[in-house]
Amino acid sequence: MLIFLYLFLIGLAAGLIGSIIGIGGGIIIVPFLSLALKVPIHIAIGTSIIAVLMTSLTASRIFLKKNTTNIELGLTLEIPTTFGGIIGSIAVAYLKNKVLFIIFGCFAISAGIFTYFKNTYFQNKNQRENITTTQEINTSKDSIFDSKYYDETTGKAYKYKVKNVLYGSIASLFAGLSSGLLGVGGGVIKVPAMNIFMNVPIKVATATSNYMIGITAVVSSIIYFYNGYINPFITIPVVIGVLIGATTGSFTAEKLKSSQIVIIILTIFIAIGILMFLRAFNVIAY
Amino acid sequence: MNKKEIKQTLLNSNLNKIITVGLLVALILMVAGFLVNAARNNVALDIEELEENTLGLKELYNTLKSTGNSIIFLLSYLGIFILILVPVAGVIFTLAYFTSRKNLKLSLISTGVLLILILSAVIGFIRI
Repeated sequence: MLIFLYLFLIGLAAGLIGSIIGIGGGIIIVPFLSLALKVPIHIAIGTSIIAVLMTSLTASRIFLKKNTTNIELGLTLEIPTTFGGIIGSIAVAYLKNKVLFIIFGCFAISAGIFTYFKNTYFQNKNQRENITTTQEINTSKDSIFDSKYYDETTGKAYKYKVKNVLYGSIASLFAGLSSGLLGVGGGVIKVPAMNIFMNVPIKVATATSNYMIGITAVVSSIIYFYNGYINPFITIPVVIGVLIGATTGSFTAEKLKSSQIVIIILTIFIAIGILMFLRAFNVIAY
Repeated sequence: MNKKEIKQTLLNSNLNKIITVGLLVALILMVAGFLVNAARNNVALDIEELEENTLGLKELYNTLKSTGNSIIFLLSYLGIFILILVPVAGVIFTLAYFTSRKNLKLSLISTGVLLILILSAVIGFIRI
């Protein structure tokens, strides 16, 4: 029975850290399950994708309530994302464990770097862009993706005009691929792509990405489910842990956020990446 | 607040309700299935012996046939399956919403997403 406690604690940590730094828990769940508990990596990825689905749905509820999610944009970008998800989910069955560990290692390091920039550069950039976008929107024609949102921190409503949907679609294809292949949400690709290429404010990008992650996870989940990579005895304790961790984290996130914590998280992600590389080349057995 | 914004608010609030209900049902089933199995001491997990591809549909069917606790075991799977279906229900609702408002572009986009979801189910089924 002790194993279920470990699984629950892994979910709890993933949910807590994920909600504090604004990512899904997949990037934490897969290494912990595969490296610490020796769960086969395909089953670890299957478990992770269900946990990511749970995190996404829980967060989406809050964002939908606040009208931050751009559903029109999310659905449009979902078409390339789900295609990527299908390709990734099929490819995973043909890839050797070593290759999966290497890909995951690269992804973990990239995600760490993204998280650092998201919490430093992107937030500052977002403040400047909102002002510009509000002025531009009055002189140009609305598209189906243009919208507005209310920022609770500033107490103001901002309009924004979406551009470069093609670039966003290409980025979404890769996000879907990573989701299907590694059991992660892919938000680390979508959020900066929406913010940098498509002029979507970071809060809307995060909310829309969360909404999309739920739909993308369905594609991978169905394929993993049919292929036997989802074991309820592993998945359920992790999912419950994620749910409790994410809920707790969302209440404490604002208090805990600081540049020091972001640097700690960056270090953890890089360490996870290195461990996955070492595992790939059998430098560490488990 | 203009008309478009009111529509978006209605869409968002209804999606929120669908997600909330779906999450609750899935969670109750998953936890109930897990706890009942644990109480009956049916939860056995040896990760060292765990193989990949141990719980495919064929194996699941055989397990259900051979166990006297099939219904309870099925609850956990049903919970996970309902969780997977929640976003699908959201897409179906979005499609119905845009179609009812004669928004052709977004109806087509929603249909596209729904078709890809169905395609993934077909691909998964074929690969068993």
